[in-house]
Amino acid sequence: MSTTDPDNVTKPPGEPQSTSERSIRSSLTLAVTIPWIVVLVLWLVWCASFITDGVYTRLIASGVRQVSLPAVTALDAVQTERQLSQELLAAGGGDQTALQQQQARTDAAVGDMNRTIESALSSAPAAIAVPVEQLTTELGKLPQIRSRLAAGQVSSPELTDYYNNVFTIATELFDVQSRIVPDTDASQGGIAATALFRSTDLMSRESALISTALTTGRLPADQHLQLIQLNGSYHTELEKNVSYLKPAVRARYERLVSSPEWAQLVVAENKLLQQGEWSDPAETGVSLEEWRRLTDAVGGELTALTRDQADQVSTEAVDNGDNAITTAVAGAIAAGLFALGFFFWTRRRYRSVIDGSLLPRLQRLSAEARELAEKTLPSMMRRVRSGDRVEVESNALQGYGSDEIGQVADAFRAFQQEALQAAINEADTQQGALTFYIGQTRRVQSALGPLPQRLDALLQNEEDPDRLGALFALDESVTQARHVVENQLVLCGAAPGRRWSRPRDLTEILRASAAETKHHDRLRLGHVPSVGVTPQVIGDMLRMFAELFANAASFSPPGTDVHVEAVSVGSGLVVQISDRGVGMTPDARNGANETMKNPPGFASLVRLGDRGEQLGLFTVAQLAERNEWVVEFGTSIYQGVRAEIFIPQVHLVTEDDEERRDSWSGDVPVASASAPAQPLPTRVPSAASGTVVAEPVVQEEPKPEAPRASTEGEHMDRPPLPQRVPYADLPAGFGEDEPTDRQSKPEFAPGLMTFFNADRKSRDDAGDKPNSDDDMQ
Amino acid sequence: MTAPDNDAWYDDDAGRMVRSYALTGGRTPDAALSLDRATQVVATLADAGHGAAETPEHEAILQRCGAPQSIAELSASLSLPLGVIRVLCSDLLEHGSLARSRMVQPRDRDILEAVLAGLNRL
Repeated sequence: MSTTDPDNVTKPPGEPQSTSERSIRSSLTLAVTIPWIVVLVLWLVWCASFITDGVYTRLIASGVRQVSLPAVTALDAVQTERQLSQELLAAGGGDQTALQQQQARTDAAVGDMNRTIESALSSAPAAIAVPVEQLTTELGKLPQIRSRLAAGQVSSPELTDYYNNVFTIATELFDVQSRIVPDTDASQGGIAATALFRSTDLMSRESALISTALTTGRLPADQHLQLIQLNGSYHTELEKNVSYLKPAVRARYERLVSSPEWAQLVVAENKLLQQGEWSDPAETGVSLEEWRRLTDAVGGELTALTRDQADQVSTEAVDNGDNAITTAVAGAIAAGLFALGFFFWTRRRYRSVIDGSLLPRLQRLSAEARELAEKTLPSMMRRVRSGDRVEVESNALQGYGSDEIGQVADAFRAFQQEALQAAINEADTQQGALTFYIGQTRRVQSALGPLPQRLDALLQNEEDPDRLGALFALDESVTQARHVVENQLVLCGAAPGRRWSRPRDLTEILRASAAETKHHDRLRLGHVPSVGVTPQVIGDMLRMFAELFANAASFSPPGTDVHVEAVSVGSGLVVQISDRGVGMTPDARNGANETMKNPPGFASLVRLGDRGEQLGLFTVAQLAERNEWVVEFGTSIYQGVRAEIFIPQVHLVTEDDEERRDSWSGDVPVASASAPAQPLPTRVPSAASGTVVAEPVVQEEPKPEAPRASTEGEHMDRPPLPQRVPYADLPAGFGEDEPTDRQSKPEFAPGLMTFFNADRKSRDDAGDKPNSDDDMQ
Repeated sequence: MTAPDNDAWYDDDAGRMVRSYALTGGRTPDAALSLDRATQVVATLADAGHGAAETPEHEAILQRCGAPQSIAELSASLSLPLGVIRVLCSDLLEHGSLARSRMVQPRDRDILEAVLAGLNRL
């Protein structure tokens, strides 16, 4: 009765079968299937009960027709034979011709009955079969009784008892037959027929009694009493049951009662009853012949009535049984067809809802929601965080209608929009905070920026040792503060104020970076190859080395040296910074290396807290990542930590590049003038001699625009210098008067840059951040 | 953020990269050495430019002191503050790779009189 087999349902390819889907399917299938099973069972029970009733009724009725009607005929013959036998016995012999003729008729009737019974008995119910067998057994004794009668060995009471017994059994049979028929009408009719039969039997006994008395010529008192009982019984029985007779039978009965034979019989019976016991038949006024004529006529009619009644009742019962069966079968077929039709309709509806509509929609919803959660939403989040404007309203999860699934889709869509709006708000907040922060930091930078050059001017001719010491201390503080401010700007994605237009020597950068920490006096430079660093990475390299120096110095005891060496490798340069500290635990080292490989975002700082070394490592990791430098922490031979930094060749300018070297060697008077002493940085003195004195004056003068002018104008003989490149990371709106082609350069924080653009160039356009200017000013 | 252009410093606009205090390790000149700007120093021949120097600046001084140089001259030619030169020179004097040069003072009377006359005219 199962409408669908869950395993046969085809799944969309690649879609995993989820348990919830199986559960919805199976539970719905179960909910639909069980009522149908109940309907089937009810239908079967209904069919069985109605059809069984009909079949049983028909079986009994046909048993009545097949067994009882021949039995009535046979028993009628036996009744006649009984009367003749008793008369003969009473007469003490005489003419046996009539009896023998009657015996032959009885045998024929009983033979007919037995043949019919044999064929019918196999299918008859036990309630009928048992009394029928008793009856046939009893009738089987008939020849024995006859022979004993012929031999004069049987007494009158014995003979009477035998026949009475036969009829008692027959009556019982008919009674049982009548009462077990399920059909009420048939049952009542059958009982009436049985009563009729019993009346006939009683009347027959009365007839035999009187016949015998008339033959013997006397009626003893006990037989008179018997007569009274028999007479009263059969009349009462008839009157009591007349109303239950079939109309036709009843009409025939009325005709019998109003017939002269009936009236004469009643008169004769009354006479006999009133007479009491007698010893002379003449006293009664009833002759044997008259009595026989009357009782034969009335008894035969009563037997015919019995047969008629039984015949009609059984015919009706068979018809009723047939009707019941027909009705039941027709009803069952009709109900079955209706149920079957409804079942197929339900199944089609079920399939169209479950397989055709519900499950595919659920699967589509699932797939789309997954797509939304795993691809669309994250990509939109990324766009939001990178500063793009993202439309919150989306077309995702449309077309699901307004039913429950549609409501789920709506909920998903609302969730997505809420998440997106939250992300946009968060990004805006972050951007605002960042903008504010950068603005404030730039103010600090503005204040600090001119100080080093002024300090240099003050220092230049200062001879007083005390004031010199004070200026040194001031310079140190300013330099360190500037370092912090620049770090902040860089990490916030903004460009720091300090930039370079030409390469600088690596040694100089290493020393300058140490000078930006408070541990500058602990730097010990080992061998560092004489290489230049391209201008665009000088700032980042300064800041990164400064952090690594600070890290090394803070992890080693005060007063110990921090050794720095650099080794050229095939594809670049490796700088090693070693301290003599206590080293890092393997866990700390692994953590630091992990930080370098996968630089954490700002969010991770929440977990790291504000511990200096973590901030330092965070800064190093960010700077290294954006420049594709590789930083790794290991163990130094001094038992401390050794940081190794790989700088790719693309960031280096070697002396082999003669033309480039010409362009920048002059900027580094100290380094370029250095003697080739080991282990100090070496530079061939002759190569640099003569150019060193004049250049610094020239180079210190120009304003930002000057170097570009001089390179492009005055030094046309030189190859294109790299100083154009360092401005690439300038915010687009940083210099309003600068060529706009800079704005197309890649930037680290587009959202921020957008803000700067708006802030600097067209404040009216920046409608989304109306308050930013006020915050900054 | 009032003047963005003023917030950008190119090359040494923001002062020299290696700060002066880092060149001396934070030390200031020892007054007892009495190295004034006119003091002349000269490299001792044996050690000139070889092995005596701790820093490139030391070496640069030794390079330039093949002939006697005044502290002021060194300061100008190396673009280093006077105080830094004094500290570095005192390092080298202490080490022996640099020596004070006997100063030969010009004693031209005509020049001195011309100076006096000039001063009087002021």
